[in-house]
Amino acid sequence: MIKLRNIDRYIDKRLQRNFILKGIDLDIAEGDFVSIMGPSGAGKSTLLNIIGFLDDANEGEYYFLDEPVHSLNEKQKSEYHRSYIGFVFQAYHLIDELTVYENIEMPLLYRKVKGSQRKSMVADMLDRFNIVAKKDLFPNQLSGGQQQLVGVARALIGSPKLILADEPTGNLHSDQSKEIMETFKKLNKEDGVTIIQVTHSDEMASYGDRVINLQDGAVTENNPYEEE
Amino acid sequence: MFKNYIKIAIRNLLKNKVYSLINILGLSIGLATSLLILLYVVNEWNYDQFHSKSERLFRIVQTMESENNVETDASTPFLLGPVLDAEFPDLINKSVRFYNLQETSHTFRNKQKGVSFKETNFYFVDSTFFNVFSAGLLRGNPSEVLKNPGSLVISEELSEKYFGNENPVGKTLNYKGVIDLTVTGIMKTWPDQSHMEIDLIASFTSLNQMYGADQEYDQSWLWNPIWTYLLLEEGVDPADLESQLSAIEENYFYAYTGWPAGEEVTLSLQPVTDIYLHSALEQEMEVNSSVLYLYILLVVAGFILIIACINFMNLSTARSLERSREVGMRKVLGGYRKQLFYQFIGESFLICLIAIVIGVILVFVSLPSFGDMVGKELSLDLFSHFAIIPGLLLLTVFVGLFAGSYPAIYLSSFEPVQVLKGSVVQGKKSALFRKMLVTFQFTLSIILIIGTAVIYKQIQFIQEKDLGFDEKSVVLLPTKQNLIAWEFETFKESVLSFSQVESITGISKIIGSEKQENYHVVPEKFGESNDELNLAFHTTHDLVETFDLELIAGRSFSKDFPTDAEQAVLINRKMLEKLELNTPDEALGEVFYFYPKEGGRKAKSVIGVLEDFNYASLKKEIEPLTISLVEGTIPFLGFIEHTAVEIAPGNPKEALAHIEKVWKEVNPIDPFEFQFLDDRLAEIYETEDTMSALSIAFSILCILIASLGLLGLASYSAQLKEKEIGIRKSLGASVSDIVKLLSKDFLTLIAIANLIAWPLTFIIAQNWLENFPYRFDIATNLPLIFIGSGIFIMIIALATISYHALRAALVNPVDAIHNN
Ligand SMILES: Nc1ncnc2c1ncn2[C@@H]1O[C@H](COP(=O)(O)OP(=O)(O)OP(=O)(O)O)[C@@H](O)[C@H]1O
Ligand SMILES: [Mg+2]
Repeated sequence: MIKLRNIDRYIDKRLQRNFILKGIDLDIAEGDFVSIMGPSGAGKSTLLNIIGFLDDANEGEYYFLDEPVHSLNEKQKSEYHRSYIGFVFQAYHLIDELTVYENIEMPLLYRKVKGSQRKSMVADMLDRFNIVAKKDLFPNQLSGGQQQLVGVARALIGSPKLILADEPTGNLHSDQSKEIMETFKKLNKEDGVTIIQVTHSDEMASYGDRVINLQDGAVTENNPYEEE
Repeated sequence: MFKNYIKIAIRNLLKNKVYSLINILGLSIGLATSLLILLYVVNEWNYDQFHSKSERLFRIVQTMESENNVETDASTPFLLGPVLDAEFPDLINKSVRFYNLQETSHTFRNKQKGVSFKETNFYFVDSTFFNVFSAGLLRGNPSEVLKNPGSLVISEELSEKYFGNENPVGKTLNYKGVIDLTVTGIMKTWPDQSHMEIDLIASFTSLNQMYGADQEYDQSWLWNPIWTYLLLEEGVDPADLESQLSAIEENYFYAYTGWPAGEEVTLSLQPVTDIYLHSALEQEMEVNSSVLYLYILLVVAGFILIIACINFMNLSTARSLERSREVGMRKVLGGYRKQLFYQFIGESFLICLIAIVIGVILVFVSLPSFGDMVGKELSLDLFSHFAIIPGLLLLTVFVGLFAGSYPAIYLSSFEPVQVLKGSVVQGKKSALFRKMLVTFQFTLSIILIIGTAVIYKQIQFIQEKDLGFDEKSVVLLPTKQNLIAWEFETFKESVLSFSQVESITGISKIIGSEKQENYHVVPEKFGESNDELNLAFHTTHDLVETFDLELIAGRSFSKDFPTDAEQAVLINRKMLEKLELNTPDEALGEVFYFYPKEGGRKAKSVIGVLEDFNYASLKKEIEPLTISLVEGTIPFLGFIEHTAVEIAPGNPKEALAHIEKVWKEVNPIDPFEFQFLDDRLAEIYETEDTMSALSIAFSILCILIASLGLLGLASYSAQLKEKEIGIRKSLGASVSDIVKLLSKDFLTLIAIANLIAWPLTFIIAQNWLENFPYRFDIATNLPLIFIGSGIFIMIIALATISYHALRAALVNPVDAIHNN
């Protein structure tokens, strides 16, 4: 599904080039549940953003579903965001001025889903995450865990093939974290959704099938697919 | 999706009430002001459009050109209309002549009721009047009412005034005690939006009764007291007619026996719809407006809208941080940049829509007082014209686009990564742009303030300028061709018998007012062949005393010299230059030849020289002038139009009561009327006064809107710097340090705005002042005005900013740090 070859991401300063990512080769197959780990500042978020088309590599090649990403235009990237990729963020990033219901509904609006269908889809999500009672509240009226549930629901409602989660449980208690991880696992096993998460916790990583270690912008763990 | 946009827009508006209020209020005031100006401009623009045949209506005007004088008159000779009708039957449908005996005051009397009034808007007109102009006749047949001699059509208003509830048709009104006119019709009140004002019209043929049919009063091609209007045939090109008019000049004007050699005449056509805004000729029926004022007002409206729009741009981009997360997330969820752009532009439309609704309400509320200010009855009926509501919507869209485009482009450009990293900081570029916009706003504001100050100063200068005569204590009585002429000496003596009356004299034209007359007067020194038109003023005895004119050589007219009326003339200092004399005394004894209308030539020699005084308005330069004495009833009737009475300072009531008593004894026909000379002269500057009042009002609004914007920005920057302020305070910074910190940037911008505005305004002001032959001294006054305006706006800005700066500075530092 995802094929990175010799990816460099750097910031040019005067007299000096700072590499955030250097020579990344990475393959992730459909249905994988991958955890990216590594010390702070290793470039995990940067890598995830590149995978999610939010950031561009400076060098190297990136194929998403065999499509060369570097030649996609902005609109095509947005199309992928609408129908293939869902994001979950550590800081939730819900829209403050919209209610829980409206936040979850938002991706469907961009996908031009019909009103009645939209209603039932959002209702399903609210149900699934047990937040029906909160649907008319605004994000700042929710606890962090509840907000993250909304964030996950928002990511899932478009039935994406790929979920990118940057420290989704970073701000949560262990119970809440577990709940989210269970959801991910279920999605991965039952619906075959590919999941890539960034985490600092071995426990969270253990929900996944595979760990990628990132150190100073380079992958230190062997890439199981590389030999093929 | 649309619903989602609306929701989020409204929630954002409610979330930041202060900013929303500033934004909407600023735009509302801006829009309301522009709409008021637009209403005024549209009103002025539509003058004389009510005639159904307006595009075929023309006025014929004549330009007279001699060696050293060019003058274009709005009026023409008596016979021009009929001659044109006869010569160009294929081009001209009908002509209409207007004549008011060259008088502005006409006495009408209902003998039965014993009531009489003076009317200003009276004309003798041809019977074609109702075919050419679209005047509604309430009673009477349009083609009959003005046919017969002695016919009179009056407006419904006047019908009420003279006849009460009675039907006036068939009744008579006596005109000037000379002829009886029979009312044949009633017309609707003449519309305000016309360059002419008409309350009564009498048939042109009535003039035969006035003058006696044997008097060849209408045969001269030199005397031009008639306004001639033409209705062209359909499809006729006015230029076509104009090109054939030289034949008329040749065959009638130049062929006239009394035509002065060397004088050239050119006839031309003016579309009636152009007169009000484009015509400032000699002998206009009324003082017209000028299109220049409309352009100025439109520019001002544009300024104010731009300033309001800039507020919107600045506040939206300054607060972009708050919307950046939404932008980032919408993009992550698959929103196109274009969709985000539309979302934000849509929000600005929404705000503009709210603003225009409030703006229209503001217009309704302020329209009556604005109407008073500009002296017009303005109204806004949203449904009176199909284009008004679409026009308002178009304006909304336009303003929304103008104000919203930049913020929409800017906001929709945020990238999700920046948002995720929290690295959306105030872009340096957008901050710089914002600073430029603030500078621009204040530049415009300062231009308006200085412009206002200059206009105000100039008007004050004009009003306070020493005119060279005493205008404060003089009372004017209209005495043209009324009974006073027969009894002037008796009248004068009786009036003078009262101790409060100091002096009294008859004058041909009002001193200091615009209308002055040229006569055929030639200095002997220039030889007889020279055809000169010089300003000639006529007076009875005591002119110099009544107006406190300054005699610099010789003597004034005196009863001790019985030949003065025939042989003496006074001149002004300007005439010395023309005569190429060095001292006033040298002028004494110089001879002038006068060529009266009756024919012949009179020689008069200079007996005295007067210091220059502004016999005409300050819009005109003082020119060489001759003053002749009028004595006896017939010359008085021919020349003297007003009596001027000088009253001792103090309460004029008793003196006026005395004059009225004497008037009624001598002249029981004409009602007693008077006007103080200074009031009369103030009327000349009505347009300038209105402009001055308007510009003051608009600059206040302009500053208000700009300050609102500044208030918003200042409060935002105080909010952003809350933490910094807290830290500084905990490190011991004083309140004034903090205020300085917050005000410095803005004040720098305003200082820059001043520097940009000054040279610009200087050029504009100088150009404007060039229209006035008498203007205040720019060189010594402008620095004061400039620096004054600069300081004024600084103070306002500082007051606006310090409110927030102070508030920020007074916050407990611990709270501030904690909150962040
Ligand atoms: N725009 C930028 N300019 C300069 N340096 C940057 C920029 N963006 C990222 N970096 C640097 O790149 C490195 C990797 O950042 P990244 O956010 O990917 O780290 P991370 O592995 O996600 O760390 P954490 O676990 O703390 O989230 C950091 O050292 C960061 O300082
Ligand atoms: Mg990170």
